[in-house]
Amino acid sequence: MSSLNPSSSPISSNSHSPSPTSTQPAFKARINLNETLSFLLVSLMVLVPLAALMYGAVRSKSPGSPKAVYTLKNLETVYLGLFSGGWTESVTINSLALAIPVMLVSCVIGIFLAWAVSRTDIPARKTMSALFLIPMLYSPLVGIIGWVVLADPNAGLINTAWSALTSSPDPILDIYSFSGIVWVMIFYFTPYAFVLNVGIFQSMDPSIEEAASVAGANLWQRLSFVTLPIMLGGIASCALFIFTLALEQFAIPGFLGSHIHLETLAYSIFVRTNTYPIDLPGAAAAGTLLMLLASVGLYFYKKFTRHSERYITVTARGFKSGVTRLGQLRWVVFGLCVMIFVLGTLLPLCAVALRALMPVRTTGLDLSGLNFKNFEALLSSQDILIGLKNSVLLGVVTACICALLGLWISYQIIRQKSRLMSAAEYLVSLPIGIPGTVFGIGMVWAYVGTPLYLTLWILLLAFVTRYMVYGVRMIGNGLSQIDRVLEEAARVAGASPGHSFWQVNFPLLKPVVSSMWLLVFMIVMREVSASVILYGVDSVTLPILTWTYLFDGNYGTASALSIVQLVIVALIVALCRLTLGTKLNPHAVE
Amino acid sequence: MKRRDFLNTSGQSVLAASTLSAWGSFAQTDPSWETVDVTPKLIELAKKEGSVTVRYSSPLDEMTVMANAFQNKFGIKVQIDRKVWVVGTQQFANEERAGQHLMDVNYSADPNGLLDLADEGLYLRFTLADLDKKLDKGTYLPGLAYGTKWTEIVISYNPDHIPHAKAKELFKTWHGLLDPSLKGKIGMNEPAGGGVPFATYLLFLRRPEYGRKFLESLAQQKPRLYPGSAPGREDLAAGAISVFIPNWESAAMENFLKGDQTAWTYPEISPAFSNTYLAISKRAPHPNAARLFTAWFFTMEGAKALQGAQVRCTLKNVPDERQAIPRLKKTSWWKPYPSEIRWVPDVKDWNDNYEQLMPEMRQALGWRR
Repeated sequence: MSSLNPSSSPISSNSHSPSPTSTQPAFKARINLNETLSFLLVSLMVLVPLAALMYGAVRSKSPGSPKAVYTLKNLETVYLGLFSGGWTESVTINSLALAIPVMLVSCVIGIFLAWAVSRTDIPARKTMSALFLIPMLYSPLVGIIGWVVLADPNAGLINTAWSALTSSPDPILDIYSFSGIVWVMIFYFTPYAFVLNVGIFQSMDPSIEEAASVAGANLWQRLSFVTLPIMLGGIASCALFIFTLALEQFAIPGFLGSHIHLETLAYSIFVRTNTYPIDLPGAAAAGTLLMLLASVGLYFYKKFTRHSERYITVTARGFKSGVTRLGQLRWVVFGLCVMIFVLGTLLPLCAVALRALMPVRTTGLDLSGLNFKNFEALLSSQDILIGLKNSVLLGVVTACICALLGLWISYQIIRQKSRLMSAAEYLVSLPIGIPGTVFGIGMVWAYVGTPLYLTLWILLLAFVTRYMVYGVRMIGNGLSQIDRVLEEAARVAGASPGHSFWQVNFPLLKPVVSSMWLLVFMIVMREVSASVILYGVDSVTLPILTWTYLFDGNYGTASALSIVQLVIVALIVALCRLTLGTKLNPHAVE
Repeated sequence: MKRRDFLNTSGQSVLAASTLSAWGSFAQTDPSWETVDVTPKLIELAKKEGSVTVRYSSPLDEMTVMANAFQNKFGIKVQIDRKVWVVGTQQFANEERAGQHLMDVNYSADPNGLLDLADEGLYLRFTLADLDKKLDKGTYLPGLAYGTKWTEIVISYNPDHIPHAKAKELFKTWHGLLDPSLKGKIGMNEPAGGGVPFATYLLFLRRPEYGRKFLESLAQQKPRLYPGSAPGREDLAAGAISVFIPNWESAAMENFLKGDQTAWTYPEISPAFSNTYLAISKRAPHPNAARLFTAWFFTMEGAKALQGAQVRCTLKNVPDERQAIPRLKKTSWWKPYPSEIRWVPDVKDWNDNYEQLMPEMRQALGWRR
């Protein structure tokens, strides 16, 4: 979700020439030391797990096994198996087959929603914008629980209602099917497509569309011949980004697909780390394949966004977002938006809430038996307290470290523009292209023999490594918009570099830092893919607990926990908004 | 990688064929084994340690009952980590070989893994005080791990889909599962989902009236395969499936007490065994709390606490005070588990052949990985 768009890179957007003061030897030396330290730190954080992943892929046995030898057998099995009926063949095909429709449909819905709230006069646009982002507050497990309750082919509430209405024995929606899995994934990824496309719409000068309108083009013509062609590059990059996310998503296809023998590559990798027979070398080798596939998507994403200035018309003079008056059509568009929200967010959330209030499942829906026993059980459990403490701690500390690293590294990237810092910037953005499960396996191979293994520290290290890109990119973007003359003036007045940064830059960067902080906090609070591989008994988190309850068949407790987690995150988001005025603006998420 | 290969990686590990044979051949006593008992001294030392980390394979509800009971009794915090069946022992091996000593007690359903890793010196060799008075032979791995409960396999069904009378008639034998009306309505635990499914499918493979063909016929019924049994029970209660196998009675009772309307019945032959053992890590970070936790569940008080999870304890002379029994007696469909249907898995067969049996079972059931 980071800004992988080089055009938004702080380096490319910084147009200031180096300051004469920065050439002073003492200061230069200090900066060089800073640069070297930054580069070394980033290299260690990023390259160690990646190197360990490669190492794991060529080992015959699990870490620490004395009889382990080097072998290419795992890689052979993974890569040659792709074309000769090996285990990777079907799971890779499944992954691609799922990712493509998810990408297409999520993008279409995301573009529509973004257009509706950015460019039309439908009612309650601000509220709608906020509602469409709700799925970003919870983990994919919520969607799983919700849709299992709603659309199990034999017992789902929608299907039983459908059956009662039509007497049809066939379900209207089968969640344990290929299309069912696609359905759940679409609604999970639509908010990403929405956010990315809102960003694109907000970056477009509406005067071009207005000109088309003046020239007599109707709504359809404007959309077809002006708006969409201008956005095409942005849409393509959004699609590739969703494709990559869908490829690495393991929880939804993993849980729903396991009932019908449909396994994806990401889930197969997880399975190799966590079920019989554990095969960490095989998981590492398969991880390299998934990383490769994700990289292809990201490569094209970067390629599309590299020249984004050609199709995204950001003007220097600024502009006011134009609104297309839809007339009576606005109610149709509004209705569609509401329908998408209800289907994608409200229904599964209500189903989760309902399941949380049901002590046990019964055939049919018995509302008289609803109570708070699942919540009571949850609150009396030791695990919930540990999980809550760990999740909040990890969320807060990760976000703070990412902010500090972001300030430190992006300052050097922006102000120094050295090759070393360019390399550091590249390294910082590398982990975001690595699927969480794969990154987790790399961390296991790297740190299994250290005291970090299975502790909260390894999770913290993994999260900071994966998400510091948000700090560097978002704060870097903010910093690049601050004229360094201000800082230099403070220096001329006798302030030290640190003091001038703190007094001049930081107050101006506060909004972007708080925005970044909130984003990282939210991501950490719902992270499953890496933590499911790295957690230990003391470092269990709320999403991991939900995962455990879910796989243990304790749907009621899992649902109650999901609700508790959603409420906590929503409260913190509201608190940040009320006290700091923090906004999750689309560019930030992008 | 085969599990056996995975476990047998230590240079020091001398996995003699004798060890790999049935645990019946394991020495019954050894003077070097430590005797573990609940003593005031042990309690005092355990309390000073303050916590105990238990990795478990049993259902969460059962472990929660155990953890809460122990914690309430001694004020020692119990941290639990669920790793089903062989995964728990494999992770333990990983940690120990990497020099990480995190687990105190393993509540494990993987006797083979326990034996292998004990050979590598990773588990404490101990016996319980007055062992002969407490447990029957066959319920424990001498000097290593002690089974707390009997696992008795049943066929669970949803009475909204199959009326009690019909279920009783249909499931007189396991062949009733092949009834055409059940096509697409059966839920099954996959073979690697734990000792329970493995034992049940072993019965099918080894009994002449069933055999591999029966497993293949079951696959023709297009069952939903679950990686664990608990999601299967949830789906059964919801009516997503009509029958779930293999379930075990204590888990079914636990759900019954929560208001679950599903019922269960006993076929003509059914696996019954003690397969969840308490074992102690040799390098347990909380050695005294680990010993206390293990020993306490083999006292009358501990066993009664365990009954809170509706399990039938292995400890001798414990009155059956499971809460579910009086309520079940009031139903029209329940009767106590008939002891004559017990089929005790051949542990030597299990131990020696399961590397081959596992893929065979999966293949027969159409489980691909």
